[in-house]
Amino acid sequence: MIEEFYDSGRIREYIQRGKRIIGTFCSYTPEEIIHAAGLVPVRLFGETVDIMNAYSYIPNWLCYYSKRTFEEGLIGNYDFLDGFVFLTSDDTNQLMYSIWKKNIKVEYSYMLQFPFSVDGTSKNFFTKVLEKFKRSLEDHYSVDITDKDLKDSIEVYNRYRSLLKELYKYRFYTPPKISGSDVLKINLAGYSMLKEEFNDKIEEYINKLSDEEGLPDKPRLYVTGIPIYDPLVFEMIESCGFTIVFDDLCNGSRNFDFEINETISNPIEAIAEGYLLKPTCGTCSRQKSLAIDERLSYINERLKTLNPDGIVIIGDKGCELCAFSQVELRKELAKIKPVLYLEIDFPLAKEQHRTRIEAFLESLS
Amino acid sequence: MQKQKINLLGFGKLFGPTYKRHLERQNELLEKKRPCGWFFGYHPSELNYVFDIVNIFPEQYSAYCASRGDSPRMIDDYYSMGYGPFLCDYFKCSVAAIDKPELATKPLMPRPDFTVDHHSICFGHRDMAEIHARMYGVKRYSLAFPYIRKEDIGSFDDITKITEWMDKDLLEYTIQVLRDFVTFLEEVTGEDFDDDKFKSVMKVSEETSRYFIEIFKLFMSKPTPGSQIDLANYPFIGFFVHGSKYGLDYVKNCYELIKERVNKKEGVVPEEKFRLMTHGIMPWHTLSLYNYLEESGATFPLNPYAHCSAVLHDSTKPFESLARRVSTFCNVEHELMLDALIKKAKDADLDGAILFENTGCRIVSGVMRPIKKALYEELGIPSLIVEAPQCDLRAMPPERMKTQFDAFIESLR
Amino acid sequence: MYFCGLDIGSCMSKIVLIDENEDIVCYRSSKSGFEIRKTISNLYESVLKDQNIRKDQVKYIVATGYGRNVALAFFADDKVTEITCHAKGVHKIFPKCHTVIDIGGQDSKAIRLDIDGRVSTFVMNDKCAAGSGRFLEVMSNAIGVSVDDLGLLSMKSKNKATISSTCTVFAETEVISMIASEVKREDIIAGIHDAIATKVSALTRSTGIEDEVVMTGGVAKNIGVVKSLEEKIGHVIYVPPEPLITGALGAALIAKDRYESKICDAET
Repeated sequence: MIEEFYDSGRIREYIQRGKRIIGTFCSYTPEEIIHAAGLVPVRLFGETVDIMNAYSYIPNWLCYYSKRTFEEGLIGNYDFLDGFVFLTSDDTNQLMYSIWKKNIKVEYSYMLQFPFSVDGTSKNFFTKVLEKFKRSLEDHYSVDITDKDLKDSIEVYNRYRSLLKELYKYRFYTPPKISGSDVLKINLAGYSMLKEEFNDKIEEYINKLSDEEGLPDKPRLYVTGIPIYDPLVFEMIESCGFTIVFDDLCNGSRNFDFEINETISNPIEAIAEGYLLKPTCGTCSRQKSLAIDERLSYINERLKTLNPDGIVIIGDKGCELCAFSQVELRKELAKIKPVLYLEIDFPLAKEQHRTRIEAFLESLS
Repeated sequence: MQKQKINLLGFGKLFGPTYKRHLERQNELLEKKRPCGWFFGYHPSELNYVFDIVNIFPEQYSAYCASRGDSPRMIDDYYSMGYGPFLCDYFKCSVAAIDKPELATKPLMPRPDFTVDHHSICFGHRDMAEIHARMYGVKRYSLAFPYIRKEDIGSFDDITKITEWMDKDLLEYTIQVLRDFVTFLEEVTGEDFDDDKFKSVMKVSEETSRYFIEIFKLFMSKPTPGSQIDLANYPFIGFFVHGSKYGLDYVKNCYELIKERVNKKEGVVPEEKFRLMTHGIMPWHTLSLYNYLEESGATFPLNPYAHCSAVLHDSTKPFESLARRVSTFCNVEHELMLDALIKKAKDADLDGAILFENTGCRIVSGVMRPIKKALYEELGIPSLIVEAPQCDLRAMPPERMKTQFDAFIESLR
Repeated sequence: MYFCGLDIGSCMSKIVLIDENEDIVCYRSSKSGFEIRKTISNLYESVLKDQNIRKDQVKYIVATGYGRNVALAFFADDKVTEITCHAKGVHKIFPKCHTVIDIGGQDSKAIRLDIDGRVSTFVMNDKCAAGSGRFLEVMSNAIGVSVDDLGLLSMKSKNKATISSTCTVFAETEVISMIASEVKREDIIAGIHDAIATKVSALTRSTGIEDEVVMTGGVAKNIGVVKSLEEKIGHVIYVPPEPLITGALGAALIAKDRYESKICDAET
């Protein structure tokens, strides 16, 4: 069933149907606008593990995600892209935009201003930024993006988000009905599909899931940390005897745990507001509070309802955001539940990680 | 090879009294119980002089720790807090100074009442300000300045940083961000914004930026008039105390020194053999590395890092003028920055470039390979990239660095 | 009735046999080598032979260390990570221990124990070699001194050298250049010990340090490293008489526990 979601041929199929593909990198990308232009937004994963070429362009200590996606771009694995859209969400994204623009040949590239502060000033600005982005797509692809188009896309994406929310609930059952690795695979599959197609598939899947028996009961984990585009990581953790019942990763709950207000008359403004208020990764915060505290309060709320046995924070030395916040995050979360900090790099040193995960499991019993 | 004698311009000698005036101001204000802010990557520094705020710069403090040789043990402490290697060396030192003051270089920074950051030099500043604010349990104010893309400004002048145009929305937004910040400072101090004082501070700042730019131009003269040691204190003025009278006096005096030397056509060394560019945060722990090269006849007419904050002002439009400074060298897409750099490299008549990759600094390190490529492809100029975290000499021992320098110089012959 | 613990590490494999009173009957170690299976069976069989113990008298075998999965596949009854095993083994010898520092061939770890000797938190080193036994090995090669002699030699040092590089390869270069400039051997060694202690003390601090502190693993035999680490963390460090085998001892103790609960389950 899960395999059905995972279909690498799908993107080629879209191209054959005359669709154009736009690569994205960050869960703050307002894909609704790209979708409304009749394009297919696709989140890039960076599946390659061996970095052979990228280090002549970038330092080798950047985050795994930037290295792997760029390497794939360099070796031509993304030749299906018609364009890509970056956000200024951190230093790595800022510099990777320039480096991609220079070295990966596509028809269209765009850099969106990321709204770092949540306040009126930034909401107005972000709305203008998104309007410019819309115009840029219209000009480049000679299309008109009407308010109706935008509203339709918002509806598709709101349904996408609420279905994923629904799917996540099956993880909280005792025993869970679906493993964390399988949810991750479905999530990843959704990134390279037109959401209307994905929505139908997942709805069908959820219906079947509700009748299924639960998985064997195992200690339950809450996972937080860097984006995980490699199912191997979750499989490794779960194969040590855990079930991951929740993850608030960039490509986990933070990707869908918000919605866009369909009653606001200006759809661009609605999109700006929706993304501005989405659960933060730690880059975006209200002026009077700290991003890390906002992040912690999001996690704490979920810990209260889920009551997992432990928390795993997955880190990456190269990820600036994670490297800055992980110490405080570890300290605060350890006050609530046992915490394992797992710092990963690729190729994955599975044996070393398994020792840590198994020891963590042993310490919980 | 005969070592040449370095004839410093003497900017360093001028800095002592300047810094003393800076400290005197701070102490006076501290005694008056004025609010104290820790500023990360701060560019509207003028506002501190308008509101009489004690302005503390953890990064400058960290550079000082490195020059005193205290940074290695502080960085060891930083690691023991659970942090990893690929973060800014400045952060490593300033965090350790809070964690283990007994290991840190004295005098310590006074306790902050709030922290301020913006990310138009690097995004890391946001995180640093946040973590420091959290450690002290104080407020943080974040200036969410925009990033500059080519379509926002067209191009910018390589010396004055004046842009071809600036996107209206972007400029308006940036001004609004600054105005919001003024409101915050009004809250912090309990005082109203003094418009006249602002104008006069901006006048000082404008004059400072003019001297800055003149010195920048003169530094590219042939032969190179000054040493990188002369420039070592320069970023402090440019980044942190723009708008102060002592900052202005300093650059004015520097300008007199360099003008005189250029008029006499004197160089920093008797025989200039190679003209090099250097970029990247300076290795504060071993600034003598520059001397090592200068003694061999390789001089540095161009250091974009040291001049990164030189943006020509127009004090008649003070807010706009502050806002326009978002177009720093670090906050623009590579294409813009490289175009400006190539122009400068041509003017400076370079033979090569020595680029410091500051491990942990994504902005600086990420641009080194593109610079190397562009210099070579456009002008045939070779570059050497050396990994050199700015406060930790242990990651790249100076002896190892010198070997690379020697090999590079040999290859230029 | 006997219980066996087997710790198959990256460099050394260790075996401990205990009786039903939890007393050590016998222990032994050998290089893990290339053929782990062979190493394990040789160790096991030689111990049984020497002690005149039949295989059926050994009721339960627990494997730990990197080879634990291999051992479980063909030989052991169960596997447990070395973190839990070290905690268990050390708690047996030092019931008041709250912090274990273990420096092995490729790993170093810090483990915090609660009052019952259970693991409350732990950290392990990253993939850098600078805080591991491997670092000492590389350096002893460079100096031309056996690893076993490093500890005592370093105690003669009056003027400790400073190894400034944090990278093993750079540090080796540094050591070689010190040798070339005739820095005293004992001073270089003392500097090396300091470098390793710095790295490990940073690791230890992230779990928090609480007395008593016990150090295990092969490197604990090196008095120089122990002293330097004591200085850095500001706590007295206790070293068991055989620091190499605490993991295997812990595994043997866990073997006994598991066997007893198995019997218990069978009875009820």
